[in-house]
Amino acid sequence: MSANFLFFISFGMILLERTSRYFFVSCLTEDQANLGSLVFVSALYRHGDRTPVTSYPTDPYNNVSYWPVGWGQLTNIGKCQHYELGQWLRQRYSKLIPEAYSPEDIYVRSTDVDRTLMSAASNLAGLYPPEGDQKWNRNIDWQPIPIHTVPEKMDEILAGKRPCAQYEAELLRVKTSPEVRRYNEEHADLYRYTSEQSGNKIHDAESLEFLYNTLFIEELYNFTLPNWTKKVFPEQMMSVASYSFTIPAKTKLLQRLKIGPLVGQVISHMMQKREGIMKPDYKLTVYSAHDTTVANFLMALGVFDPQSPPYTSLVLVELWKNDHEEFQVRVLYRNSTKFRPYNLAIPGCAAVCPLEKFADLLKPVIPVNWEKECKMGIFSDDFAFNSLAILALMVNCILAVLLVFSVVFGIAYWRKQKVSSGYCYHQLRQDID
Amino acid sequence: MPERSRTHHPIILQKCCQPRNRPACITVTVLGFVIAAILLAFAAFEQDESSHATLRLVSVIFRHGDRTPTETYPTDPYRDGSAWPEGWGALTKKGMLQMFKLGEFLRTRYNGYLSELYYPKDFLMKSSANDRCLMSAQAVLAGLYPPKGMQVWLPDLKWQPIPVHSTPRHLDQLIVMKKPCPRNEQELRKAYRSSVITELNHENGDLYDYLTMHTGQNITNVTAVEFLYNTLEIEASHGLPLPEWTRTVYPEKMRHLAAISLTVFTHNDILKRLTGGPLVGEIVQNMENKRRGSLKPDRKMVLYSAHDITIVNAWRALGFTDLIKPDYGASLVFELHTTRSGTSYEVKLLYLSNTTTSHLIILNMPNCGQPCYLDTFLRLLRPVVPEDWDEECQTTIE
Repeated sequence: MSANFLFFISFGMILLERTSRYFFVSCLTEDQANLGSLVFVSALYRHGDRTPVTSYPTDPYNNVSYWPVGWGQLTNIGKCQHYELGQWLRQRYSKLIPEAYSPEDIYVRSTDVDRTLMSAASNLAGLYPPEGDQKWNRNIDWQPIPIHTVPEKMDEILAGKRPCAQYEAELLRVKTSPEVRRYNEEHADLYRYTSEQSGNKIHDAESLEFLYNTLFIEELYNFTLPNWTKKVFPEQMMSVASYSFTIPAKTKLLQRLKIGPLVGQVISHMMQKREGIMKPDYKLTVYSAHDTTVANFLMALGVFDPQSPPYTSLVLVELWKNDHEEFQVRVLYRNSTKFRPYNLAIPGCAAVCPLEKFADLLKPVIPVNWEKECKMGIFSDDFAFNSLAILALMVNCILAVLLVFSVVFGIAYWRKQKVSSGYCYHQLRQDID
Repeated sequence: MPERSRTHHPIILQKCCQPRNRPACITVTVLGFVIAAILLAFAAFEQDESSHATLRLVSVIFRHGDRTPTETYPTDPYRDGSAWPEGWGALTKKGMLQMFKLGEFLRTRYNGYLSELYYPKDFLMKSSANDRCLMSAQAVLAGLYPPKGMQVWLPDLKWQPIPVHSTPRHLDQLIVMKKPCPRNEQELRKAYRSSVITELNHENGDLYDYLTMHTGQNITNVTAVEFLYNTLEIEASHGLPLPEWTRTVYPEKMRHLAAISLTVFTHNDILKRLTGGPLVGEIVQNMENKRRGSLKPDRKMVLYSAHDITIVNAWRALGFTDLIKPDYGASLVFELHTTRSGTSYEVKLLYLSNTTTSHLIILNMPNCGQPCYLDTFLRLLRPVVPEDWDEECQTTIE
């Protein structure tokens, strides 16, 4: 009963979310909004141009020799893209962050993946070219700057790869929800066609996105795609690929467990900044991650427009302090080098949102105790687990009954054996007689 | 070989240089010269080729470069930190250059074995999560892998990004060893109370009193001496005049105690296993996998950017007992070779004292013999490598 109830609630939440989501593009300039001065920025970006993470069985380019740097690695183009993004950040925040690198100003964290670590390094090369006294090698216009990371399996904050049972259960529920099931049914023909042609098993939007991504990169590198792709690539596949990015953080619970820790850290940094207790007193924290990280983050903020986040796409969360000592938050999204970043207003607040209100609105997606919330209590309201628990309970009952029966029968048999052996003995004697 | 071919030429000329088959003769002569030239070239490069020909895997644990002090003491004339614009415990420009040189040294030594192009499957850099180690790792990479050919990504920039992998301190059970380990902490307390250390403290009571009086802080054991020594050494090496009182005790007396302090963390077999074992274990495991052909990815080189204590921990886990106080850029090198016949594997251990030299000291692994075969090496190290570190950390006695 309770499982059903919860199910309806979460379904309702999905509906509510879909209808209430809007994408606010503002043209406010800094003066108009009376922002005051910028005090702190959190930046989350996707790595730069990379080679395909994997190919597919019938891929004519199914050979690593087409990609000399290896699968899923950052390319020279990717390095340049991030170098330029670093220069762009330098220009945009020239007042906020001094030109000379100081570990007290900036903290960089990356997922523990080659391409994100390398993107962060290229980005820093653009952001902090060694100036004057910091030049350490006259032949090299670069200086080392620490990039912190955490092995993926231990990282619940940025990589989101630390195991979380509750998340997996909720994800399964979302994937089998009527809405997602209906979506997959509507695209069953596309899945069947692409499965047959590619040799991949494609059964949902996520598995299609993998294939789409490989084709996208191959086309980007001017490889002639097989003829079968013409029918479905890019248009049809692209829309499904875009949709796939809404799945990992579709519900509030998914958001809370997958990306909530990062949202929580960003907000907690801003709170510390307001209280003046941040140590060191950073001005910029940088997160180097993946398309899914960017999408999940925007989903949690309620401002995701379903599109694959492109290379070097960037989310900025800026904290401003005005003359009245009021702290305000502005969220920006940069997904193109050609346009200025978009201002994003989180649902329920303006594009420039008071910090307090910003934190309040996002409270539901921030876990209080991530580890505890990931655990699945034995009699939790979790549907998937409850059915499992009931099943286990039933099996146990049956086993227990069987055990009792076998003991009873065993004793009865043993006693019968004793009796019958006496009888046999008796019979033997009769024979002798 | 080349000499022999040269003496052959006249014979060939005499035999075949008759007018009727001159073209054949010329062909043979030219071919002879070509072969001779090739043989000569081989002979000239043989030295380098052969040392690389047997090399299968290189692992290096190195100490970060020149840094600023991590701490100061109450009467320190440089207590305010103005001498250190980089901040406390930070890598200096001098340190960056040392690390760059270390990278160049590794490039020179292993060029030909390790491709000049960076291939992620060949090479791995792991680092302590400490800023100075992360930065040292990057500077080593700048020296080891300047972009070449297709890897030049920005004209005029002689640098390319290469990943440095690390684990936060409180989770690190490989390099920094700061992941909580109750058993280790218990044994470490015991080590500080051991007769060797208490006697040493007793012997140096006067020195401790002297240092306590002049520094304005309590100096009661070897580790306190080590920390103070490090601060003084860094100040001196950066040209800062030391106070008068240091003259009688710095560097000799203090340096010896500082080196002993580094050994306390691997004082007994349990500490060696829990503190030095994991990193040595990983290096050894990689060697074993390499031999089996199951090292994935099939690395050629793995570097560990670490601290002086990391080197001493590994040093003592290997069974070395000499006191060392690793300098900046000091490197403990493990080379896995096949023997010349190619039938078995041997381990070569080498030590680079610092980055001003390119002389690698050949180390004789205790009890392993020469050559030190991988099988013997593995057998010797088995007791040092924990099977399940986490579990062994929990088994406290008392």
